[in-house]
Amino acid sequence: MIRRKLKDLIRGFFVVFREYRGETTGMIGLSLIISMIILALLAPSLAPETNQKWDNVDRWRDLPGGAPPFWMNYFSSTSKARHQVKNEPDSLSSESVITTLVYNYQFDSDLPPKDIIFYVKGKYTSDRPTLIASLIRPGGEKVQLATRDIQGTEGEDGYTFETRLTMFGGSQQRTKVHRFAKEYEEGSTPDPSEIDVTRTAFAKAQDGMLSRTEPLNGEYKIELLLVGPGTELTNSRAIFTGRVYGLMGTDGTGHNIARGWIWGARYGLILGLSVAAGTVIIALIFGMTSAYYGGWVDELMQRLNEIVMGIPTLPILVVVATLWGRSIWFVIFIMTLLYWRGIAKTIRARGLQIRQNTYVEAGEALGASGARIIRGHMIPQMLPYAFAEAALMVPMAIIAAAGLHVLGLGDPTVVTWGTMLSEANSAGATIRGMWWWVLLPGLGITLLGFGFISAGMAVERIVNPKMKQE
Amino acid sequence: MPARVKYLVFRTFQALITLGIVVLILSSLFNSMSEEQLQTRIRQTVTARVRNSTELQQLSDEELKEWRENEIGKLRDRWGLDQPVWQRIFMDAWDRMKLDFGQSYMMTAPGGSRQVMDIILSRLPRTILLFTTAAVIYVLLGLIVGLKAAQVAGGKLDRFLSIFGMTSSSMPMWWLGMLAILIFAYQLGWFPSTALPLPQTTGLDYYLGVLYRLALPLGTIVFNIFGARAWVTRNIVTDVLQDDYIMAARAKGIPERKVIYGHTLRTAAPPVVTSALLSLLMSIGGAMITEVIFNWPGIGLLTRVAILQGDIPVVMGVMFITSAIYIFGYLVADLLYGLLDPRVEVGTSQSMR
Repeated sequence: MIRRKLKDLIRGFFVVFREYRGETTGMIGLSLIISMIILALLAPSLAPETNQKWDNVDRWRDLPGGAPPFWMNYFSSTSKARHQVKNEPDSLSSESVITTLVYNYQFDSDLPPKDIIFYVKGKYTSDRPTLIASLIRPGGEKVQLATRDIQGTEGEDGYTFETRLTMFGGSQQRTKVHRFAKEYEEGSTPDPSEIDVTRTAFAKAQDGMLSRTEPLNGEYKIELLLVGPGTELTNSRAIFTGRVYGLMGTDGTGHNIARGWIWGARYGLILGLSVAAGTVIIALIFGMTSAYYGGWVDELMQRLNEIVMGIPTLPILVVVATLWGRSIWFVIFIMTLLYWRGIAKTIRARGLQIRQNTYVEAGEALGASGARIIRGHMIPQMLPYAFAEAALMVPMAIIAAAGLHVLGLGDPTVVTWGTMLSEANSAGATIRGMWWWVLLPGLGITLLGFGFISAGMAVERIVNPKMKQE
Repeated sequence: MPARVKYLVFRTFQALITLGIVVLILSSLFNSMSEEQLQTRIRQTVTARVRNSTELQQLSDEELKEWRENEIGKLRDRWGLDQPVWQRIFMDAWDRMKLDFGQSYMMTAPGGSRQVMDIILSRLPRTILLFTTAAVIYVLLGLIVGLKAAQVAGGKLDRFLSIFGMTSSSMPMWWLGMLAILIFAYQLGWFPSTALPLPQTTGLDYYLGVLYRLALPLGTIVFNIFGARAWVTRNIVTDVLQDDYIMAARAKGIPERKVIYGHTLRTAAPPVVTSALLSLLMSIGGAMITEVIFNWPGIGLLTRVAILQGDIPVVMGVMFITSAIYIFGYLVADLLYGLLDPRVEVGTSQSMR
């Protein structure tokens, strides 16, 4: 019995789908939905350590903050250095107490990296080693920048250490670059705090090196000296933090927007589909019962529907989130409790038409119970409509949930498009011109919404031929 | 009593009951929150009184404690905290139904009044100015574009409109607002990024200043909504265009303009006019997040601040107004539809559906 029903359902699905394939926008929508679903499913492997570590500052500190996407270079007259990670030095030599690591950096854009970060891992026996980083410019000038006394942790045989060194980060480095460039400056020199350190360090050594920098392209070498007896290097890594980053750039705190975006798709789909499924199930049962029984049952249920209609949703969501918590599951629950109302009205209206059909009458004559007629004869008729309504519900739920985030009431444990937009809003991304931070997460909402709306409309056109375009 | 009036009275009564139940639900939802707020306020009031009175400070600890408890009890009586919960919820809802919104905890109207009604009334015109103006524009624009698209169904405009309608309505309005600020306030510098502070001048200058601040949010709302509205209009009109009498009219050789504006519009009018009216009415409620993004000092921003400060009487007042607009908006739309469409026989139906 159940198997036959399932077979019917699958056959019905294929009948609708055969026509659906002819709907261009519907097919675009469907492919959007499918690609989003694939992204959402792959989120944990495509973007690991993103959702759980969104608020962990250490996770994102090696990324440049506020960097636009890399493809902006194709639209801009000034090319900006891309992010680059080197896991091996280009040359490594060791001489008595000094280990020398050299990283080559080919600088061929207009703006240099924001900073250069080193991770050096190793061990020493007793004396604490020192790390010295210098920049060797294409002309051969050498600027010594950062030094660090390494402090390791004691282990079985000596000490092990892992140190992080930023080459241009501190005020000391700033002063050193300033001192180097000042010699070429002919006019007045700006204060060290006013210069762009890396731009000056990667500029032509000429007048204006501090304020009107002109990039000096060529091969730079970054030399790292690890000085200390009995020191052994196990691992090193250099990160040239870009002025542009990745497919979608980074936000103000250095979050990789592309990674957050993928999780946004995941939670958007989870929220949208859950709310859509929940509301449509409630609305189907409610609307069908109302339409089938009619009379005072219908009257009562319609009044109930109107009461739910009168409840203002966003303020309620805001208040409920303030009172009882912001978990995404709780928000889904409240939305489901509220949003079925509109669908139920449509479904009841359709149900009244279906009820007129002779097969319903036949079922009654044969003594079938009301529940059975609703379940067996009326609901299957309604399924395509219900599907269309569910599709329209998805964007509505996603937009409302994102709005909650912007009001500061989103679930803090998940990363959604709303999370990113709310962070963009509170950081003033709009008035700081960080368009990618505002545009891209919202585009996610729009794309997913468009996918579901166009799919829903296509199904509606198929089941309701009067809506067809001429 | 004629059937129509009887029906009107019946439906209004029904809407009032619906509103009453909604308010009851809201009151019970807010009860625990407002009780907590009241307790804190009472304690603060009593402490402040002790601090400001030298007489009270001279009392012994015992006496002071007794005085405090006495005073707290009195205040609890005054605020009705001595009554059982259900009674408070009912009284609360009843007051609201009588349009008595009570006093706010902290917020004030520009005149200094603490009456929630005054606070809301001081903000309402600004929300109406923004959202109702926008509604007028997108309703008209939607009508014009929708009609044009329907005239050549499947044409260029029609196809563009279907895509545009679907795309623009899947964008959050406040996100469009953020983009608008990014483009027109940051990049081009044409408009301000925030509506506050309001212009401090008077006369024509004041109105120009308001208009300057209004332009960006207004454009955003219209852009967000008119596509979907035009699409709905287009669907209603194409629906009518498929009717037999339109085919007959065309077959008779009546010019297309006349077919559209004479025959079709007359049939399409009831749903179009009704939904236009509904949009206008609903626009009074505004949109909270859009007001927050543009810093537009209307009802939405008021609600947001009231929620942040825990000023429950204000939140409740706003929610009451929003619900009332919803419920009565639907009622008016329903009745208007009945008046416009002669096929719907109002008041004669037995079940009064």
